[in-house]
Amino acid sequence: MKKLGLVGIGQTTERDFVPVIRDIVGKDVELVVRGALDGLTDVQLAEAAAGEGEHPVVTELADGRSVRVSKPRLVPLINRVLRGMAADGVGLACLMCTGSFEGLEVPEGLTLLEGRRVIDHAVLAVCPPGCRLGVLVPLPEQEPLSGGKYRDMGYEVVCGHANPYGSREELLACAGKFRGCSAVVMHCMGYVREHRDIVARAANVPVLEANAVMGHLACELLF
Amino acid sequence: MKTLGLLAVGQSPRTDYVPVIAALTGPSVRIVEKGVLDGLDRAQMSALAPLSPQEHPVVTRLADGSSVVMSKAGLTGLVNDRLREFARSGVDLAVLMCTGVFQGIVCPEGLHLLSGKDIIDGCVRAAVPSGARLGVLVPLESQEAFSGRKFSDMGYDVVTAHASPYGSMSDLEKAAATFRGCCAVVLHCMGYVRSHRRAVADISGAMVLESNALVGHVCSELLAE
Repeated sequence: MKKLGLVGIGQTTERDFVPVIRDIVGKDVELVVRGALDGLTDVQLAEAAAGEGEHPVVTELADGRSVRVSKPRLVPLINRVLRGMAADGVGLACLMCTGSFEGLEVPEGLTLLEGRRVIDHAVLAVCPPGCRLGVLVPLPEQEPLSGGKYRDMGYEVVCGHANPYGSREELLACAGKFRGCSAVVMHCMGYVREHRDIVARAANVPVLEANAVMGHLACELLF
Repeated sequence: MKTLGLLAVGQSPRTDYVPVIAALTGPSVRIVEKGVLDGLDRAQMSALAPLSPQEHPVVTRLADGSSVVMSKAGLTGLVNDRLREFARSGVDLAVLMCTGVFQGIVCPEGLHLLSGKDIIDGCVRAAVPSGARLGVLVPLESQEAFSGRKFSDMGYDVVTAHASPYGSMSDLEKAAATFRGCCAVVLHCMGYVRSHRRAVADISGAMVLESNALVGHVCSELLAE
C-alpha cells in the first residue's frame, strides 16, 4: 500500500485536515500522521513557545489547547519527524502548515510538499496576479505578513481574520468582506470543508482550502 | 449541479483526457466540451498551420483521432469566439486545455476562466523544489527549446525529450529513459493520459505530473459543494 506522510506542526489528532485528505486520496493510500509536538512534556512545550515580539505559529495540542510556537524552535522538531517518516518507508510527505520554515532538512528518499509553496502556487494556478484576492487568516496579527506576501506576488489583497477554532458567526461576518474577489485563499491548514462552504456561499467566489489542495496534489503524485 | 467547460485547442470530443478529468470531478459536475477547430475543414485548418519553422507550434488532436500542427497566433481569434460561447451558455468554470502560452486571449465578462498553462506551471512549482532536476516531455522536437527554457527560467535543472501523445508507445518509452535520475517529470501537453504517465513513471523512476489530471484536481476542488 502506498504511504502518504502528514506532518502537523502541533500534536497529532484526527481532527482538522486528516478526514479531508483521507477523503481525497482514497482507501488505497495509508496515511502516516505525526505532529512536531508529539510526545513533548509541558516543560518542553513551554520551551518551544514563541517569545515576545516573535511571529508565532498557532497550533493545537491533542487535548484541544491552542498554543503559539516559535518557528525557529519548531524546525528541529519537524526535521525529527521527517527523519522518522523516511526511516519508516514514507516516500511522500506533506508539511501541513502555510507558514515558511528556514532550515528544513529533507532526508534522502523523501519528497516533501511544503504547505507554503503548494498554496502560493495554487493561488497562482487559478488566479493571475493583478486580480483581487481574499486572504483569510486565523489571527489579526497575521494579516500584515500573509497579506503582504500576496501583495508582493502582485495581487490586490483583501484580508480578513477568523479563527478556525472559533465561532461560525465570526467567520460569516468576515466572509462578507470577500465579495467581488476573484478567489479567496484560506491561509491556514485548520480551515476545513465547513469553513470553505461558509466562505464560498457568503462571498460567492471560488475558495482555495489549503489542506484540500495539498491532498489533491499528493493524490496525483501517488497515482 | 455545476458545469465545467473544457476548451480543447483541437476538436471535441476529447475521448482521451475527458474521462480522466470526469473521474476526478465526479458525478456532481457536468462537463461540456468545445474545440477551437470544431466545424473547420482540412482546407480551413491548413490555412492556420505555422508560417515559419521559427514559430513555437501547437500540436493537437482532431475528432477522428488524427493530429495536426497549428500556429498559436492563428488560433487566438477562434479561442476567443469559443470563450464567448461558454460565457453565453453560463458555465461555472472554463479551462483552456493547453499547456502553451496564447497571446491576446480575452476573457468575457462573467466567465471564470482557468489557463491550463498556469495550472501546470503552478503545480510543478508547488511540488518540485527549485534547483531540482526536472524532466520535461513535449510532443514535438521543435517545442523542446521553448518549453525547456520556461522551466529552466524557474530555476530547474531541465532535461527535455519529445514523444507525441498521438504517436507510438515505443517512442514514448525511449523518451522516458532520458529522464532517469530526474526528481520529477512534467508531461507538458494535455494529450498525455494515464497510460503515458504510467510508462514514464515506470521507466524513469521519477515522480510524474500529468497535465490534464492536475486540471481535473483543481477543477474538482473549485467546483466541490
